[in-house]
Order: sequence, then C-alpha cells, then structure tokens
Amino acid sequence: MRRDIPLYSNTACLSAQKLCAEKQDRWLFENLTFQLEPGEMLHLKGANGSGKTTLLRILCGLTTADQGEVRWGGKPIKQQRDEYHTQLSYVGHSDGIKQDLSVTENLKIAAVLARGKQQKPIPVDINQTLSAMGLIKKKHTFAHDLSAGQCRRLALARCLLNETSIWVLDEPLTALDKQGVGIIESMINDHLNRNGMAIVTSHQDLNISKDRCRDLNLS
Amino acid sequence: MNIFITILKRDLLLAVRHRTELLNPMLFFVLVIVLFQLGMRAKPAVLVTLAPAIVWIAALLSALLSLDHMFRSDMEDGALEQMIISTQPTSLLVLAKIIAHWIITGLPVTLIAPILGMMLGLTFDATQILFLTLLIGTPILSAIGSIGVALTVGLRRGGVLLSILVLPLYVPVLIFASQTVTTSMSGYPITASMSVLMAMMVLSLSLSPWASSAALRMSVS
Repeated sequence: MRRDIPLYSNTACLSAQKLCAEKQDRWLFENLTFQLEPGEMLHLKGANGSGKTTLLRILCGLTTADQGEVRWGGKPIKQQRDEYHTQLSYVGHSDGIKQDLSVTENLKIAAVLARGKQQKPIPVDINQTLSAMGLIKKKHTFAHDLSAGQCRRLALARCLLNETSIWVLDEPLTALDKQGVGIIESMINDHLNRNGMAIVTSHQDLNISKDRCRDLNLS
Repeated sequence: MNIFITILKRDLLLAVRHRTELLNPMLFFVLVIVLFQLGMRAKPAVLVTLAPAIVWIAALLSALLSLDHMFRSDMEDGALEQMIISTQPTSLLVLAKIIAHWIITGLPVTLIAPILGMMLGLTFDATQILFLTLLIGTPILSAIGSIGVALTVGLRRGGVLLSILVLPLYVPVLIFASQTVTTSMSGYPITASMSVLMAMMVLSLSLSPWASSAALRMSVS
C-alpha cells in the first residue's frame, strides 16, 4: 500500500525526559525516559489504569506532565507547539468524529484543522485515503450510521490524510475486524518505512517487524 | 480565515441537522414572554413598563439555556481534543464557535423579539430600539458565555456552576440594554447607553476567545 510515496520531510527524534505523572495521590509512572528514532514504533503495554492514555496525552501536549518534559528534535514541545502539532496525529479513546456529519465532511474538517496557518493543499486525496481504509463505499454515509469499527477506521484515516510523521494511537484496534487490523498493521508498517514514528497502546500484539518495534511496559 | 469559515459552517450544519438545538432557545424565549403577557392581562400599562426587562430577561435565560451545547458535544466525542492539537489558533476556532452560537440562538431571538414586543404593548419606536439592543447585546451573551462553558465543560455536572459564573457577568448587559429601551420610551436620548453596549460587544468579542481558549486547554487536560 502506497510504497511509492517518499520519506517524510520533517523527522526528528522524540524523547521523554524523566516524565512523572500523578493521579489521585499515587504515581502512575516516575522518571520515565525513552527516545524514539525515526522509523521506530513504541508499543506501550500495561494493565488497565497503568497510565498508558495519560502518557499518550502528555506526548501529544494535551496534558502536562507533573515533572519532566517531552522533547522533539532536542527542544521541548512546549516551545514549538505549532511545528510539533503539524507533524502529529492523535487518535484517542474517543474517535473525534461528529456523528451528524458524513464520512467525507468529517475528513475534510480534519484536513483543514491539520493544514497549519499556511494554505497548503491537502496532501493526500480524500478518496484515496477512504479506499485505503476500506471506507470508500461509505463516503456519503453519516457517521451515526457507521458501525463502531468503521468509526475507528475513519478516525485512523486522519493519520493517512494529514501526512504527519508522528502517530499517537490509543488502542487503535478496538472494535476492528480482522481485515481492519490487517489494514492498520500495514498502514503502520508503511509509516515506519517512510521514517515515521508511532506510539501505540494495544493489548493485542501487532504484526510489526521486530527490529522496528520496541515494547515499554508501564505496570 | 479558511478555518474560521470551516468551523462556522460545521457548527451551523450540525445545528440544522439537530433541529431541537435550534428551536429550543427560541421556543423558550417565546413561551416566557407569552406567559408574562397572559399572566398580566389585567394591567397592560404595567406590562408596557416592564416589557423591555421581560424581553431581555427571557433572551438572557434562553442564551444561558443553550450555552452548554457550545463545547459539550465536542468534548464528549473527542472533537475538542483534535481542535486543540490542531495547528490552528484555538482562539480563532473559539470565535467561530461563538459566532455560530449567536447565529443559532441570538439571531432568531433578535428577529422574533419585535413581534413579541408589539404583543407586550410597546410602541413601534420602542420596538425598534429593543431590536437594536438585542442585535448588539446577544453576541455579548454568547461571547461571555463561552468563557463560562470553557471553564466548566470538563466537569461532569457543570450546569449550576455555569449559571453562577456567567449570570453576574450578564447583569451589566441586562441593565444597560433594558435601560436603553426604557429611556427611549421616556423620550430621552439613548446615544450614551447604546455606545456603552457597543463597547461591551467589541470588548467581549475581541477578548473572550483568548480567555475561552486558555480555559479549554485547562478543561481538556
């Protein structure tokens, strides 16, 4: 799938420096330090409530860590919020999809939101993205008529559409069927081949080449 | 600018597809005023003197009723997170949402108010002034309200807190707007109070997006 597309232009290491997060008077994690190079994936593992989602939200800049910082290309992300966010796609627990809009309308808004201040054209065609995700037949369907798995696919389609080099995915395989899991795995593999980075939480094992994938256990 | 129009269109489209959201504030506004009229049939003269305040209180409460919609659904389905980590300035997105909220709730109320004003016994001139104050005043309600909603959207039950936070800030608008109509009914010039209202509108529309976007970042984290 889409092997002809060249490497991402903007890739820099993402690193976490001594991150600590607290919830209800207990440490979720302490002094968490790791570095992610272009072309690598970090597979976050851990029991329910071990702080996986909190860590992902910290890495996105949605939540601030109680201590420590996240750096991108050596600089803290707080100091380069806009540049960092042009390279970031986040798919959280909730899909971020408006139920009363159609599949295409949802993606168009996502594309405008991600395009930055300059009027860059949408890099990838919406139809191409939808066919890659197996949603092309649902193009004009309202999101509330989609199944949970199809909504998940639509949310993940944002990553492809926006040509971002850092993907932060919170349980991307939830509600997906076998074919869907296959699509996501090849999507992540292609992304890593293009020197992209991915941080993924998942209780299922992902079929990603071993030399590109690192595991981090939070519990 | 592109993003402003996209979000504005999105919110309006969502409102059109979700008609209850569109009708609720206006229906509330009409009902309150009609009930006042029915309740005070015996003393039409008293009703006329109270009319500006009645219309404005109804407008204010109907704005308050619909405020929570501004960010709540976006918070619940994760769209707000996507907006905050987008590369677009959050304050611009918030301004688009404020304007959309005004078009959905403030504008219909403003447009229907002259008819209700006549029904309460206001003269044609007073109705015109009432219309003008609503046209200038209702955007202030949406703008100030956005700060309150942004602060409380992260809470599970923020409804009561929202009213407590926002109502005191609505009071100056209520006072100036209803006083403007009353002054004009007595035949005095209204330039001063109209200017104050306009100043309030400019100030709230230009400053509240900043405050709201800061509050939203806090609510989301």
